[in-house]
Amino acid sequence: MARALLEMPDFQREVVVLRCSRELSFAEIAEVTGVPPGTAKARFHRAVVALKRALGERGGTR
Amino acid sequence: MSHPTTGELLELHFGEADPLRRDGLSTHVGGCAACRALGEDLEWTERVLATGPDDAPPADGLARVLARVEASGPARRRPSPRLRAALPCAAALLAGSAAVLQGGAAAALAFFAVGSLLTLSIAPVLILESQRRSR
Repeated sequence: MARALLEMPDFQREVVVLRCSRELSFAEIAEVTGVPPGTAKARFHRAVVALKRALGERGGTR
Repeated sequence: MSHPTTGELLELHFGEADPLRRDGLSTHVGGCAACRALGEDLEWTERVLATGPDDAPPADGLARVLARVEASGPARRRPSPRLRAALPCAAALLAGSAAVLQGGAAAALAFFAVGSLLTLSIAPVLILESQRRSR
């Protein structure tokens, strides 16, 4: 899983860390990263899709 | 009702949905397999982040993985709009100072300016986390 996170583009990993580790809201993530809230949400969603694809391909549970 | 946007579904999942829209969104998701699938993906992601993808979950799951990710490839923060606005001024100040001053004085000023910028760059995070703790 760490590898899947590390393989993400920085801007996707950033929102995953801020959302899941720091538990920032999307509004707060937008403020910290300097992007609109919609962009923060889109990046998070793409990160979820990428994680699902990467871990699914590596035999993750589902 | 048309399908909610991905952003609205994310807000609903994380409890950030507009209170006026929350009930309508929940009702829609309850009856829409396509929209429910995103919520299930989010739950799966949170579960995997917390326990790892293997059957034997690591004891410290998310904390260990994210600590490793943050340590090895930190989520680089782009400068905030305020900081970006301040950068040209800081650059001009540095350039002017370097032209006027020589050697150690210019280096000292540059060191001070860089330190100030670094402080500014982490200030929003410190403020947000302080606000969160005080809630």
